[in-house]
Order: sequence, then C-alpha cells, then structure tokens
Amino acid sequence: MIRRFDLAGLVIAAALVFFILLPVLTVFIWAFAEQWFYPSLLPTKWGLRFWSKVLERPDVWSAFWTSMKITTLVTGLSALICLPAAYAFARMEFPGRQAFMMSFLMATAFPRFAITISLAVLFLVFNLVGTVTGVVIVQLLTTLLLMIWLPTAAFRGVSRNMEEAARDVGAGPLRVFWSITLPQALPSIAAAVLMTFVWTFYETEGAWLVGAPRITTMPILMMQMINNQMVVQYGAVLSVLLWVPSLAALLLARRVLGSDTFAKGLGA
Amino acid sequence: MASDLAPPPKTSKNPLGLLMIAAPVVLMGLFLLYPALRVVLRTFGAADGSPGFSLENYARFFNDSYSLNNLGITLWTTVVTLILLIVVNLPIALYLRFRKGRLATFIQALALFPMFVPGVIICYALIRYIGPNGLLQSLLEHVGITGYQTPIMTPWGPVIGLLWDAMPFTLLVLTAGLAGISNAAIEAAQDVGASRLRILWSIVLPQIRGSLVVCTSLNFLSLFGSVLQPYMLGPTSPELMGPFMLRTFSSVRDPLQAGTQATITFLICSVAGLLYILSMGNRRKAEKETVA
Amino acid sequence: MASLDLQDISKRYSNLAAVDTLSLSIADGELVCLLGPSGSGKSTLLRMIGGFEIPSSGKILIDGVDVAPVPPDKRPTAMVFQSHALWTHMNVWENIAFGLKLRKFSRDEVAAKIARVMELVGLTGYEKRHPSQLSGGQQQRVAIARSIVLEPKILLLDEPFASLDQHLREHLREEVRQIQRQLGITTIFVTHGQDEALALADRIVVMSKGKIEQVGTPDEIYARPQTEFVAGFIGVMNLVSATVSGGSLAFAGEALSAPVADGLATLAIRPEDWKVGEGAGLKATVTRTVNLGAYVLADVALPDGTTVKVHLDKARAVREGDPIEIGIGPFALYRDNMVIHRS
Repeated sequence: MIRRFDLAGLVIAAALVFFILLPVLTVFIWAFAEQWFYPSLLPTKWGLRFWSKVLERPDVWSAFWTSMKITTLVTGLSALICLPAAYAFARMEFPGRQAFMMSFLMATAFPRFAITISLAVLFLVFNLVGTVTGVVIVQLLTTLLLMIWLPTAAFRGVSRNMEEAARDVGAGPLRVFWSITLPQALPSIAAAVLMTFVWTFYETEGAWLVGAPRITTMPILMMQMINNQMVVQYGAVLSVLLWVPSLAALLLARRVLGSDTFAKGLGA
Repeated sequence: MASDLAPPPKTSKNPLGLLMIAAPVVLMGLFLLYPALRVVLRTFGAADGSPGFSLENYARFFNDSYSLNNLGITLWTTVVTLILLIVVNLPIALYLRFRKGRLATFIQALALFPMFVPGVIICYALIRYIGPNGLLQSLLEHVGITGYQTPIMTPWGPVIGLLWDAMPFTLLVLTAGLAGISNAAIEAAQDVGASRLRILWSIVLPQIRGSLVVCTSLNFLSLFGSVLQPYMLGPTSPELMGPFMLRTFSSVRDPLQAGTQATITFLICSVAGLLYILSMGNRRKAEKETVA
Repeated sequence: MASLDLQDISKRYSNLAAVDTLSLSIADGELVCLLGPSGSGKSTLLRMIGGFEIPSSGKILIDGVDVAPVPPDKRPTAMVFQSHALWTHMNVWENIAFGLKLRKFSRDEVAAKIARVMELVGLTGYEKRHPSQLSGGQQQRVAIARSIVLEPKILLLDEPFASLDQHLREHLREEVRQIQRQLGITTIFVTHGQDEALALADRIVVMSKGKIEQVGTPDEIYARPQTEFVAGFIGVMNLVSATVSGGSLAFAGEALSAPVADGLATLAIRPEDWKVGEGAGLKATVTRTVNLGAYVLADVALPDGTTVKVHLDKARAVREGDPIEIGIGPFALYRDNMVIHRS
C-alpha cells in the first residue's frame, strides 16, 4: 500500500480527541485539583485533599453499599433466571422456542423509560415505589436481554462434536454439561455477568424513578452532587474512584467477547 | 466438507426447556407487558379513574401548549441527533473499513471509548468541559477566541450528550455492516471507473441499508426516551419527554398523566420498533436462505 | 474386539430417508470404508452406530447384542470426529485421561495407558500441550489416541482427515492402517474420497441415497462394479448408452455380442480396457490429451461422434488431432442400474 499523508485520519483523530478524550481528561484533572480558577488551563493548585473529604462523607458510603447490595442482588437473580433459559434456547427443542426468542428480541423494540414509567405506575398500587424490591425489579428487567442473549450465543458456540466426543468416551449428559459445555462457555458467561454487574451499578433512570426519594444509589448521589453544584471535586473524585475499576472490568469482558458481539447481538 | 446430509440440529425434544425459560418469560409478562397494557388501557379511561372509554387524558395533553412543546423538542432532539450520528459515524466507519494501522486503531479506540463511560460521568465531564467557564472555554480564550456560548442548558446540550452516548453503538453497527461488503465488490466498481462518491452511493450505502435501519431505529427508541442527558444538560423548559414523564410521576404525582405521556411515547416509538423488528425478520429470512 | 451386524436400519427425517432399510455385516477386526457422495447417508449411518442418532427402525448388533437404544456413553464404540472435537479447555493428557477417569481407573493405570497410546500415535512428550498448540495432523492423532485408549470394540472415524492436506492425509492414512492392524480393532471409516477407501479398506461399502450400492474388496469394487452408480463413481469409466437387439449390441458401427434381452442398456468400459493400435477396428481421432504421468488419458472421437476416454502409452506420443485406431475390450452392460452382462 502506498503510504500517503492520511489527512482524513488526522482530522477524525483530532476531532475525537476534542470531543471524546478532553472531556474525560477534564474530570481526571478536576479530581486532582484543589483549586482551579477560570481561565487557567490547568489547576491553580494540585492536591489530594478532596479524596479524603469524599471518603469521609457518610452519604457516599451509604450510597455505595446500597448500590453494591442492589447490584449484587440484581446480577445474582439475573444469572439465576437467565442462564438456564439461555441453555434451553441454545440446546433444547421445545414448543414455541422460536416465538419466545423473537418475543425477547421484541422487548428491545420498546422505549425503555416509558416501560419503566408504566411499571412505576403499577408499583404505586403495590407500594413498591421507594423500596429496594422495586428498584431490583426495574433493574432486573433491564439486564434480561443481555444475560440471555450473550450466554445463549456462548452455549451455542460450544461445538456439538466436543459434547458428542465426551458422550462417546462415556460421560452422561450431566457430566458432559459440567465438564465440557460449561467450561467452554464460561469465559463468555463470566463476561456477561461482569458487564451486567457494571451496567446495573450505573443504571440511573430506573433507580431514580422507582427508588426516589428513599433509595439513593451511587449514580443518583453523583447526580445530586453535580446538580447541586456543591464542590466540583466531589463529582470528579467519585467519578474517577468508581469508573476506573469498572473500565478495567468492561475492557476485560470485551476482550473475552470479541469486538462485534455487541453489534451482532442487536442484529447488526 | 461432505459431511453427509446435514443431520438436523440434534436437540432433545423436552418440555423441560419450557420450564427453564419460564422465569424470564413470566418476568417479562408481569413487569413489562402487563404494566404497559394496563397503563395504555387506563389512559383511555376517564381522568378520575371511573370506568368507560374516554379521551380526556389525551385531550388534556394535546390542549396543553407546554406538553406539546415538550413533544416537539423531543422530536427535534431525536431527529437532529439521529442525523448527526450518521453524519459523524459513517465517515469514521468508512475510514476504519478501508484503513488499517496505528492511527486507525487509535481512532477506533477513541470512538468506542464512550461505551465504557457511564451516563452520569459523561454528563459531568461535558458540564466541566463545554459548560460555562469549562476547559474548552479556557482553551479557546488562550488562542484568542472570546465570546464562547456554552450549549449546556440549551437544546444543543442534550444533543451533544446523546451523541456521545450513542456513538459507540452506532459505529459498531455500521462497521459490522461495512465489513460485510467485500473488497472485490468495491474494486470491481473502481475497475469500471466509478468515482469514490459514486461507489459510496451505489455500492456501499445500498449494502449497509439493513445496518442503517437497525441503528437508526434502535437509536430512535433510546433517544426519544432518554432521561439523564436531557435532565442534566438541557434547559428546564421545554423539557424532553423523559424528564417530563419523570417529573410528572415523581414531583407532580400524577401517574395517570405520566402514563398518558408514556403511551404517547409508545405510539411514536412503535414506528421505530416495528421497523427494527421487520428488519430483523428480513435478516433472519435472508440468513436462512443462504444456509439452505 | 467385535463383529457388527446392521439389520434393516433406517433413519428418516420427516419424510426423507437418510438411511433406507440397510443391512450390513462386518467381521471382527475388519476395516471397512463407507464411501459415497454427500448426502448418501454414510455419516448418518456411522452416527447411528456410534449412538448419536437413534435409528427410526432396525437393529444394530454388536457381538449379537442390540445396541440401537443404548446412548453413546454406554456403547463399546469410539468415534473420531471430522473436526477432531478436542476439548480446548483441557491439555492433551487431560483430553485422553477424561474417559479413563470416568471409568475409574487408578492413577497408575491411567498413566500407563496414556503413555502407551501416546507412543502408538507418536506423540510422546506432547502431554502438556494444549490442542491449540498442535498442528492439524497432531490434533487428529490426539483425537485417535483419545478414542483407542478406551479400547473400544469398534472404532468409528468420520472423515477424520477431510481438513488436512493431501500429503498429510496419505501419511495419517497409513498410520491408521498400522494402528488398526496392530490392535486388530474393528474399524469403520467414512470418507468421500475413493483413493482413501481403495488404499485403506479391507472392504468398501459404496452408498448412494441411503442405500448400499455394493459391498466388496477394493479390487472387486473397481474391477466388477455391480451397479451403474458404482461404475460411474469409482475411478474413470466410459458410460455409453446403446441398444441391444437380437443378442447383439451396436456400438460405433460394430456389432458386439450381448446375450441379454432387447432394449436400451449402458455400456461401461474402463479407459485402460480399450485395444489400441493397427487393426483394433474403429478409426478415430484424438481430440484432447491429459498427461497423467505414467500414461496419457486421451479424449478420442469415434466415427459416430461419440467421445470416449482412452489410456494411451506414453511411447505412442500422440498429439491432439492425430488419427488413432481403437477397439472395444472387456466391457459390462448395465440396465436399471444393475449389471446384466460382462464380456
């Protein structure tokens, strides 16, 4: 290939740096700024003072534990409910299989927040607004698609010949599932669980609508801190604190899943 | 190669399968289908909840200029963002399809990066960056450009936030679509003397029509119902349907009117939803035909 | 080891019969190739023997015991898959040990058996490798080792070398033959390559459309094809339709003796069976030559316009367009797919 001066590439890269990279960088800089007066390009005083301040706040810790509790619950329930279904979709024949799969896909064709509103209206009747149960149900609903679709693909990806070869050397059906199918599908399933965990942790709209005002999860607390214009650095420190581990987790998940799984899952 | 007459997928004919999918199906029915139907039916009743068919709730919505403005700004934001998403992502996707190398990898990493940034953090970052007295304004001032007007709290605020948010998905769908076009198809067109623009229009775009439909319809659904970005970055009035519904439910405490707004959202989005389902159906059919 | 008896085996998918009331007996220690084109039912038949498909009807007797309803894990058969189907999350040793562990062999026994089988397939030293670190040929050897370590009564191979290149295929073919001789294990080998079947098998079963066309030694199959399908499928064969009347058959202006009923028939003659040279009878023209190394395969146009394939000696040095004289040699006649006469 002829190495030409790649003008288009440079323009795109520069635009993306301005549009994507710099905003994120701003948050990082703010997290380590003690003073940053406009229009200085960099903080007027660097420091970690706000890190200890954030970590001393009881509302941060209570929101963190609330989020951890709800997220763990949602992810666990989601796995419990969806993984058997994923296996059934991938490997079993039963009446209405195609129709059910299609109906799960159709669930994506609804505007999510409108669904959440109608669910919240229903929750009023059962006094579930402002309860952990309510938030768990709303968030559980948002995880279903991912938690069924990715593991279904994972189970389906396990070579049938591998399973047959195991039957051939004397393993019964359960043993085949345990020793061959599950270990083969495990990396993808683990990635799906990890992604569900991270996405649920940051799910904001459902938790806000159904949880408010009694349940304050981490993203809701961050939203309040940002909106109330308290101390700029609080939001920044919290963002960095919570986002870096989740970024690592998601990158790991993506490595396992390969780059086009997301797009393919949605029919690209 | 010649594995004989391919045996049909060997699956155990087992009602156990039904049992295993029962939990998510029931969950969907109970917490998605039922509440949605219930809300839709109730909003076609009287405003005081008495039985019988009535368009009262809708009359209230469509006679209220504030509600109508909100619907209008939602449609405007959705359409503008949709157009911008294609305008921004198609060139990037094309670039990534035809260029390899370090710069391409860098561009891909940057463009997909928002996928790993949760919505709250995106909003916060944008406020600090393009907001009043933000880093961008400082940068511009340093190169001598003054008079920067922040888009935050204007209708363009949500557009920028949503663009950020929806970029990776759109790009992934488009690159997946472009990957399906063979080099040979493009080279053959070059061979007969087609210009770049001509190739884009006559070869590339028709082949990624499915991808365009999928990403536009799914983006429509998520944009129209978005809450966080409009709430954090947009003006308080008029507001998008998402924050509007949220406020009607939580602050005004009028679940019936919130339900009416949700139903209107359902109806408008059903067009996009239908488009998505149809294109999925077509795709499956096409896949089956190629297999057979 | 074991003998295998298939009695009226059928496998139907909805209305389509992949295998159609087929019966076959295989003796203890025999190596049998199932040969046929795609869709002939050979793989389905093998999978039924292995227990991966349940026959719609019929019996599968191994040493006289019907195993048709027995699942694969309880059958004394072992299968080597086309895609080798090694478990990629286990290393070579673990792949081979898996079945042994299920059979509750002691640790020492497992080690001894694996050592023996690894030596047999020539992979000693590769125990700790993962399948992805092996070449295609090595992977297939591990798959074979994994099957034979369980000392099955019957070894089944489903186009095991289909994904390998020609050279490696021939090499592994020889190895399989040697291992099979050494262990004396009854073996059934599915292939769609006739050279593989001819080189490997004690007996070949030629299949088409779910039925057996012919069973025989490679020599029999080649020299005396029982059906027109086999005649056309194995090797190169000239098949020319001709009319029989009054015990004689008109071919390119010559009358051949054919003591069969009047009517249409197909005349079959191998390219190497033509008489060539002065006085052979038919004055013809060479229209095309293909150099096949030891000899030349020529397209020869007969006076009536029919083109036939003929083996020519290199020494003859014919060129396209040259005149040549050929005459009919040993031939066979087929009618309704069955052989009705051999000369």
